[in-house]
Amino acid sequence: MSHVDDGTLHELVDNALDPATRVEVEVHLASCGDCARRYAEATAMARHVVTLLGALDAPMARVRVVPPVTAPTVAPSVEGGATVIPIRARMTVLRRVAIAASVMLVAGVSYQVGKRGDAAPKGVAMERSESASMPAAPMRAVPSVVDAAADSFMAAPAPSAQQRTRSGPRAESEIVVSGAGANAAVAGEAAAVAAPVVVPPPLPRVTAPPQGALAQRSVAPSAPVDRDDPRREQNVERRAAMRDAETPSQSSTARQLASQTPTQAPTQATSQDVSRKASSPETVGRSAVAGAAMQSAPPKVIPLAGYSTVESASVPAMTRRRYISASGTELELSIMQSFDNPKRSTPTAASTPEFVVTSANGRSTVRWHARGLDYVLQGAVSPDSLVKLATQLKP
Amino acid sequence: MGLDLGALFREYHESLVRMLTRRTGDRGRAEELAQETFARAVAAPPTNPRPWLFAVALNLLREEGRNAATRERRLVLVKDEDHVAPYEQPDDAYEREETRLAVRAALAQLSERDRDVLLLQAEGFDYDEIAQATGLSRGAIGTTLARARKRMLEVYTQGEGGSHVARG
Repeated sequence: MSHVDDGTLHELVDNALDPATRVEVEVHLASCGDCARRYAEATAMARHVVTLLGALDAPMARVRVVPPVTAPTVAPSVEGGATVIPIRARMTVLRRVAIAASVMLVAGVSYQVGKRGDAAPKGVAMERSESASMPAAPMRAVPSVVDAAADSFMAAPAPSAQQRTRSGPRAESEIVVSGAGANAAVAGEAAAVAAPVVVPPPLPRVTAPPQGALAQRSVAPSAPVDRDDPRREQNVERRAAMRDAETPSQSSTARQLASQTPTQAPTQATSQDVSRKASSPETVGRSAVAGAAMQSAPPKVIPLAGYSTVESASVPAMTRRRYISASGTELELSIMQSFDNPKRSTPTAASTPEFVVTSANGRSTVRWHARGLDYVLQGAVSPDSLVKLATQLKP
Repeated sequence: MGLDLGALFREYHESLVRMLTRRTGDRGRAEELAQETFARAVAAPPTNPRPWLFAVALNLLREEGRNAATRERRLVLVKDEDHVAPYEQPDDAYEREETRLAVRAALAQLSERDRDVLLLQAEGFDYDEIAQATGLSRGAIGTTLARARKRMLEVYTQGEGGSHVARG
């Protein structure tokens, strides 16, 4: 075989040669120092180029893959076909406050539930306090609280308790109400329940329970069983499902706290009921179905003053609309499901309209984020005018 | 429509935006192009999504480049507000920024085809996929990559060694 050409050497480097040619080339390289040297060079070049290209990268968005069973990608609808999904946004001061408040509230719930001396809810309480107060598991605990806080600020106006109850699969309003009720009972030791009390009670068992004890107490609430019970594995699964079910509960708690509305009258539901409901396969199944159904429901068309809607197309996770003015100016609106891109999740509070505006060649783009959705409005108008138009569209 | 846009998005969005950012040097523009690309995928669901998405994105980029060039010829004055604000802020390290500019300059010296092939390969495309995305023949990919890599490193090394003018 004569010397190997550059193209073939690079094909060898990229593992793109068919097996027969590959063997032939390798045999030649073994006997030809010149080609072997060129091959080494080609390998180094390929690596070097990839490294250099990496220098061009802006920090990438992290795409969060939501577990399909316990948490639908898009949460059930609350109002007007719009959707709310939790986003993991940058923590602002407001969110920190909300997080702190929700941690205190959750701690309150756990204390009171534990105080009742009921074995099963104790498991639930310990689970919650673990996720609320133990820094040992930040990946598990903190983000869900962050989500909750973020969600609470993204969702404006907050859906009424009735609506949330109707949204079913999340089963969160029951959790909130029972939590608030329990907390108020701590303060007053009374049956009559008013607003949630944020003053945290002492946390006797919360701070550092021995892991073994924790695991033992944390069996599924509806079926306390021995360590050796063959159903233990099943219980572990249920526990995982319960943990997942906690996220919306905290979300709702934070939302309620943030909106500062007095709690609604407590329902009969106890934490135990809720946990059982949330972890039952039936509920989980319904939730996934509801999530899938919601993905196909597009956000409602919001009219723009001076413009008419000429086109609106929706598919799961994305909607596109075109608006056109009397003078022929076209605007294009894209609404996409948010994928945890901190650059695009800019608002600090629901009431603060915050837009990211870019402009080039007479064409402007305004992006904003609301209720778990990313909006991009584009058109050949000035940035100022486009922001004004975007303000009309921002819920 | 049998297309799961959500899954497609999760799988390819990051890679597509990265490639487009490398290609354009503008993260915001890259995201817009990616969004437009996914919108087209909705209109005409591709059977082989990855090469298809990247091919569409690169075509959009070329199209946009042509339109921009036409507009630029007409524009006498670019207003201050029309200045493209870089979506991505330069990194803290001065050196890193230097490297970035040098790499951009080197990449700018390549032909469009060589640049595309290089960027697609860096995204983990195999030769068949690169051929599909670029329209080149499968047999030409090795030679193209060999040339592109060599040229890029030559320009980059020259720039590093002396008075390179970084072109962004």
